[in-house]
Formats: sequence, structure tokens, C-alpha cells
Amino acid sequence: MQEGFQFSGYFNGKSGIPQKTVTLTFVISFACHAVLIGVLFFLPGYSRPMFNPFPSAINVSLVSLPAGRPGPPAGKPALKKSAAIVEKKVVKQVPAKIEKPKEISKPEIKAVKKAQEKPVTKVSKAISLKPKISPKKKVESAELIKNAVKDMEKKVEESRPSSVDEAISKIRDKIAKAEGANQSRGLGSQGSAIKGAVPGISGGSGGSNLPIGIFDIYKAEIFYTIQQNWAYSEQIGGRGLDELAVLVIKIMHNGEISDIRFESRSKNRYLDESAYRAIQKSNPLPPLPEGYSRPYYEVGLRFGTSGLKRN
Amino acid sequence: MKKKMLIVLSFLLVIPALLIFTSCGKQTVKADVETVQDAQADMDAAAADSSASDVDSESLPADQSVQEPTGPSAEEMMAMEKAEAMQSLVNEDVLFDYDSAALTETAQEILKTKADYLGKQCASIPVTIEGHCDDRGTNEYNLALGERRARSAMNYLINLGVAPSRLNIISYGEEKPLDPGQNEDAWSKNRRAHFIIK
Amino acid sequence: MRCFRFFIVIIAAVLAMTEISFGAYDYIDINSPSIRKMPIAIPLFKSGTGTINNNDMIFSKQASNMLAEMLDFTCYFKILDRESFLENPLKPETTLQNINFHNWATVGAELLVTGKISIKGDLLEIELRLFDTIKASQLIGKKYKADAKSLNQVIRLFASEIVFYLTGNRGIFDTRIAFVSTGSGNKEIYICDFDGTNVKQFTNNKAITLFPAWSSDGKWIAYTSYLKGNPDIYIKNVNNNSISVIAKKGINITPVWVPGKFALAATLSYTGDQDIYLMTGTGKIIKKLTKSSGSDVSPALSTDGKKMAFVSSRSGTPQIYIKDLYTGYEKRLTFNGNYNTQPCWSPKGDKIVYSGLDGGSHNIFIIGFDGKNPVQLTQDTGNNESPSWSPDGTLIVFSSTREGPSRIYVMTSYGTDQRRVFSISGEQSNPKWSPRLVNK
Repeated sequence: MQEGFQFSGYFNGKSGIPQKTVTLTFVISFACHAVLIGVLFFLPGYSRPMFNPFPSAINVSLVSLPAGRPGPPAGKPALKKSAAIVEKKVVKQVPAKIEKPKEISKPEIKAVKKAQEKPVTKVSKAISLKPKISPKKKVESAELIKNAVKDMEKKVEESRPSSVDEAISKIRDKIAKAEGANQSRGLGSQGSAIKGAVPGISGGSGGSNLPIGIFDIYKAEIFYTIQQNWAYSEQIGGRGLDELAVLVIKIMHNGEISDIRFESRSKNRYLDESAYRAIQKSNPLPPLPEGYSRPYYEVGLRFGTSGLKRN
Repeated sequence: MKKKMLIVLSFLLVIPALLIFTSCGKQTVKADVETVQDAQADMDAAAADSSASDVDSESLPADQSVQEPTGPSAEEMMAMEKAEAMQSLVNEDVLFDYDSAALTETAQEILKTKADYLGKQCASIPVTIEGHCDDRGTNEYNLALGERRARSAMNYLINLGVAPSRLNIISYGEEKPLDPGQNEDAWSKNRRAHFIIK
Repeated sequence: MRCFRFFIVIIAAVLAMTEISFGAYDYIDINSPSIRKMPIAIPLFKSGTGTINNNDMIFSKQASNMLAEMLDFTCYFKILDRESFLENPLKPETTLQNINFHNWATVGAELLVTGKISIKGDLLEIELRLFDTIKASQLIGKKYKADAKSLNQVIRLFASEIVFYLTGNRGIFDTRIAFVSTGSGNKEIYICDFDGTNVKQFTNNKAITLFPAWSSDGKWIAYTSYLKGNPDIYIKNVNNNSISVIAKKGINITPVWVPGKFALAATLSYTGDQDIYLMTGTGKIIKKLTKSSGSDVSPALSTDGKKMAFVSSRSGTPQIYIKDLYTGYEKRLTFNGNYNTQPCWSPKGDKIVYSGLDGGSHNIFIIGFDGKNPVQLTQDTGNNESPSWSPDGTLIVFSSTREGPSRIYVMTSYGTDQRRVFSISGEQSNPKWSPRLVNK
């Protein structure tokens, strides 16, 4: 009895600390937490915090200059060759690139591996809120969530086929290579540039890398399907480099897209509409991976033309 | 071989044959003239010999002169020289370097000879200098360059004393190449100032 | 106990709120489209009479192919192959009610054109519609009545409606191209429609004729000809063939019209120097525009008439310069290479296209009017010269010897889709795109 009510002893004055002090402590703590959350959410420049054990965005640039081309002699303005000329040269590489999104999905499987070794409490922190949140979380609440996540992970783990293991190990290899290559060539060069999405998710989810692998493959499938359906004529729309149309879609379990909305429009109406059409043509998408417990999967799609060779 | 052929021919033909040798070079023309003159001298000699034995001679009244083939008269000589000068005026082009209207030393020598002719044998003949280019550049710029070449040649001649009123220039740019070949040999022939009597 | 539960509830609620109100989701970046043109389906037009009559079929095939070719020329569209269509060719589906848009979207079409043609004697009645297959809505619907021989004009009108809907611009269907060809034995000027059809000989001087230039109203062409033995400028009316001459001593070359005026800029050398002058259409000198001792040729005026690009040898080699016609300020534009000529302004005035000698052959380049970002558009394809911009700024016509004899080619202003426009006897060169000719 004593143990069970140990905690509550703080409130009914039996711990020896005056009740008012205890209450005040908790109220202040709560207020600080609320302020911190508020600040983090509404600070400009901060992307929305993710509740998800499936981190990362896929950022693939399909058409780009082959690396290492010698420039013109110094002192003269650089002379670029237009897309028509360069495309002839890179044409052979394009088909290879189209296949990559299917294979490459996860940038931070390394980080995920580390997560396996970290204590569970840290992981649950990452799931719920930004890591900057002070560790003064309620242990019980964390445990509840942790348990829920564990259940989810068990289900996903059971349903995951072994081929995904192979895929993930392939991905790991490729990332190791790509990262080595990227260091010498820089981003945006041959090969995909893969970025991690949100800082703090590096903790990974519930002690296992399985769910991350599957969903990233699924996201690669979304990317590929929609990209293949995206028709955009630069003759009509131009090559505005900074133009970005961001649309958010909800995908039901059977792959049906139940909702499409604009998160933000670019100033280029033709670009916006071509993005919308690309999504509609891609309906229905492949079904969601099994074991996804929410009713729909919501994802944002950022359409831009920066991958087109610039003149 | 040619020389011998011509000597034989000149025995058979008379002076008008001279006027047929229009497209030969200076040297050949000169050679022809010389051989013809030699041939003429031989003919005269032969005629002189034969007149002594085969031909009946008559004494003529004082005011009638004898038509004797004694060689080209001074007029004919002048005509020949003029023809020769006109040929070389027209036949020899002044050549230029790529993308340039500047006169090379060779060009200047050729122009000096032309100035000579223009002063003496071809006095009062109007001459048009055509400026041409090879086709490696673009048509618009080449039309301008052609004119600069023609003008360059003309100014040089004027400086040597040729009367400006006799000289005209025209540019054809790359529109009238002499040699359509696509090699430096052809191109160098096309970069020219060409003289015509007009 | 209660307080404990209370706090648990609060924190769980906060977490739940976090999740719900801030809709957490990932992003996927798509940086380039897989299809670079607008996919459009143009099935064979249907017979309006209902019966499948041979005559109607011939006409509908001609009309639908004509529209497909015109739209293809703009490089905006990917014309889908009719073989892949799912519709039943015997059942006409021309209106909103009976079109199965899903079928069209399945074959990849985002736009669909349907047409119905009826021919009664010499009269043609055509219904043409443009649909958005994704939104399943009609975008344009037009009904035309015309002479059978005006079919080309009707199709051009509809094509420009489509392009206007997509871009806000009427496109190039009302434009023509003037060019030089040697087919008759001499260089003469010819004119053809924007797509190379309908070639007509414009001059018959039987002498070297060069440098066609369209006036901004499209009614006059100025050119240089050796008709009288000297390179003189002629101005000839496109419709009634009336001619006037500017024949100063020396060269009279590279005429170009002042936008909106019956006046020209051209290179004259009657003073002994080769400079660019501004003159009236009758040859009266208004102003001398350049003064350098070298050659100043090939003037090109921006569409607002305020700036002139031209070629000058003042630095030793032919390079392109820009002159502000109000301030008189001249600035060199090109520094790459030793031979940059034939400048042409973009209609918007932000870029200049020109030809530059690069490694022994001429290629087409684009450069910003401020001299920044020169880009090479052609490479390893023979000599590419004499570029001219379409009046809507989307296409560039030029001459190329990539197939051997010089022919007229066209490409987008990005340098893509380079293709030959047409081929006639002789060699074609020096193309110039006309302005939009609204009342031909």
C-alpha cells in the first residue's frame, strides 16, 4: 500500500513537503512545458513536428550535370551548354536513375541501428515531441505511449516479409556508397541526394528499423507513380527555379487518394495545375503497407522544376 | 613542247594569232610574243630571200608605199602591250589573309605593277575592284569585309598616283567564290580583290 | 490518486492535441516531371452527317492531322499516338455527355480535342472542342463555317485558341518566315507559313538577293539586291509588290525596320566608312548611329525600339555590341570567341540570340542583354547561323548545314527539339520570322 501510493503521497501532504509547494511545482512545470511547446510550434521556419516513427523525406534530383566537367578559362563568363546538348550525354543515365527511387528510401538506417542500442525512454521522447523538450516528462505517460508503439512494431515486424530485409540491406549498401560519392561530388550531382527529414527523428522508432524500411519503400513508390504521371511543359510554364507547389494528400488503406489539398501554391498556375493533375492520374496508389494502424496516410508532395537542366 | 608547237603554229598563222592567247599567263604571253616575233623575223628573212628569186618586182610610183611584212608596227606593238597589261590587270588577284583587309608585301607588289599599267598602257580605262571573301564567316560581315579589301587596294593605287575617278569598288562578300572547295587552298584564292575593266 | 490520474489525462490530451492539431506528415520532393510536354489526344474527327462517307473521312483525317501537326510544331504538346486510344472509332464521342474521360486519362491524355466535320458542296462546317480529361470538363468549344479551301485557316484559328487558353498568348500560327534560297539559280527571297508550308517566291531579281527584313506590321520586306549591279536596299510590299530603292554609293546592307515606323536602320558606306544609319523608308538619312573606324553591320532593334544590338570590328574581331539609342551609350556584349555576329533580340528584350564561331564551325548562342549567362544551343551539327526569334519568344528559326546543304531549322528557345522545317531545291539560308500577321 505504501509503495502504491508513494506518488500520491506528494499530494496529500504525507511526503513531508507542503502540499502547496508540490502543486506549485507541478503547475509551474506544466506551464513551462506548454510555453516551450508553443514556442517550438509557432516559431517561424520550423517545419511541423512529426508524430511518426517513419521519418525522412525523399529528395531526388533526376536530371543534373555530370560532375567534374571542366569550366571555361578563368576571366571569361562561364559558358553553359543548354539542356539539349547535355541531355544527349546524360540520356543513358536517366533510365538508371528512374529505378533508384524504388530501391533507395532510407537515409539513416545507420542512425536507426544506433537507436536499437539506446534506452527506450529516449525513443519515446522522440516519438512524442521534439528532443529539446526537457526530460522532465512524466514517466508513466511515456510508458503508455511506449507500450502502444511496441505493440505496433510487433505487428509490423510480424507482417514484414523477408524480401524487405534484403531490400533494406541493399539500401544500406547503396547509401554507404552514395554518401562516399556525395562527399566528393556534392549534392545535386549524379546519383540522388538523400536528406534526412526532421532533426530529432534520428532516434528512430521503437527499438527496431523494420517499420522505417517498409514505409520508405512505400514513399518511394508514391514518388515514382506520381512522378511518372507528372507532365509539365517548360515551354508553357517556364523554368522558375524557386517555384514550388505543395499539395497534401490522404491515402486510404486500399491506396485510394481520399483528399487532395494545396498546402501552398506557387506563383505559376500552370505548375500548380500540372501537379494536381499528376496526383489525380495516380489514383489509386498502391495500398498502404500492412500494419499501418491509422485510417489514412497523410503525406505532403512538393513539386518543383529545379531538377530540369537550367539554362 | 608547247614552245615548239607554237613556233610551228606561228609559221602558219599571222599576227592576229597573238590576240587569241588571252588566258595564258604573262610569261607564256611574252614567250608567245617573242616566239611570234622570232618567227616573224624568220618569215621576213625568208620572204626577203624569196623576193630576190621568185617574185617579180615592179617599180612603183613614189607616192605608193610597199606593203612589206616587216614585223608589227609601233601601233600594233602598243596594242599588244596594252592587251598584255589588261590581261595581267584582270588575271592577277590581290590576296588577303583571313579576316583581314591589310595588304601583304606580295599584295603591294602586285598592286604596284597594276598601278604601272594603269598609268601607262591602260591609261583612261575605268577599273572596278571587286572585294571577295572566303565563306567561313557570315554573309553580312563578309559583305563589309569584301568592301574593305577592295577599298584597301583602291587607296593603295590612289597613293601611287592613279586617278581616283577611274577607280570603282564593289563588294561581293562570300557570294561569288572563285573556288568552292572547303580547304585552305580554295579559301586563300577566294580572299581576293579582283580587278575588272568596267 | 485522483490527482495522479488527472495529470495523466492532461498530458495524454496534450500529446493527442499535438498529434491532431499539427497534422504531422512527411514530405516527398519531386524535382522534375517525367513528361516534358503536355500530353494531348487528337482522335480522328467525326463526320457530322452521321454517315461514314468517304469524302468526309478524307477531310476529317486531313483536318485532324493538320491540327496535330500545328500543335506539335509549338513544342508545347506531346501528341499521343492514335493506335493507343481506347475509344471506338465507329462511335462518335464528341461532346461532354458521351465522352469517357477515364479512358482518355488512362492512355495518358490530359487534353482531348474532338471534332465534327460536315461538308456540303464547297462549304465546311466544323465543331471543335477542347477538354480537360482530368477535370472532365470542356475548355473550348467552337463552331466554324468556311469554304472548303479555308480549312487550313480554320484549323489555325482553333490551334491559336488552344494555345491562348494555355499560355495567354496567341502563338505563331499567324506568322510566316522569309528566307533566301538558291533554287532558281540565284539567291532570291522566298516566304513560307510558320511551319514551312505554302512556300512562295517573293523576289525574281535574277541577281544576288539577301538579308530579308520584315516591317513590324508585316506589310513590307526590306532586302539587299544586286539587281542593278550594286548591293542596294529594296523595300517591297508583301501584298501589292510595290517597290522603292535606297541606292547609295557603296554597300547598302543588313536593313532592319524600326518598330512601328516606316524607317530603317542599315549599314551604308557612301562616306567611305561602314556605319549604321537611321533612314526613312525612302532613303533619307535621319541620323548616323555608329562612328567607329571599323565595320559596323547587322543592326538589330529591340521591340520597344530603344536599344540596338549590332556587330562591330572595332576591337579587332567581329563582336556584338549594344547601343542605347537615347543615351547613345555603347557597350560590348560578347567576349567569348573571336567571331560573334548576326544578333537578334528576343521579343521580351531580355536576351539576344546570335551565331558564334566556335572551334571552326558556327553555332547559335543566347546571352542576356546584360552580357550574363551565355549559353550554347547547338553543337557538333555543322554550321548553324542566322538565328531569328518567333514573335511569341518560344521558338528560334535558323539555318544549319548539319545534313549537308544549308536548310532551315527550328528549335525551342531552350535549344531543345531541333528539327528541319522543310526542304526545297537549292540551299536555304538567312531565315527571318515575321511578326503576327493578323489581317493578311
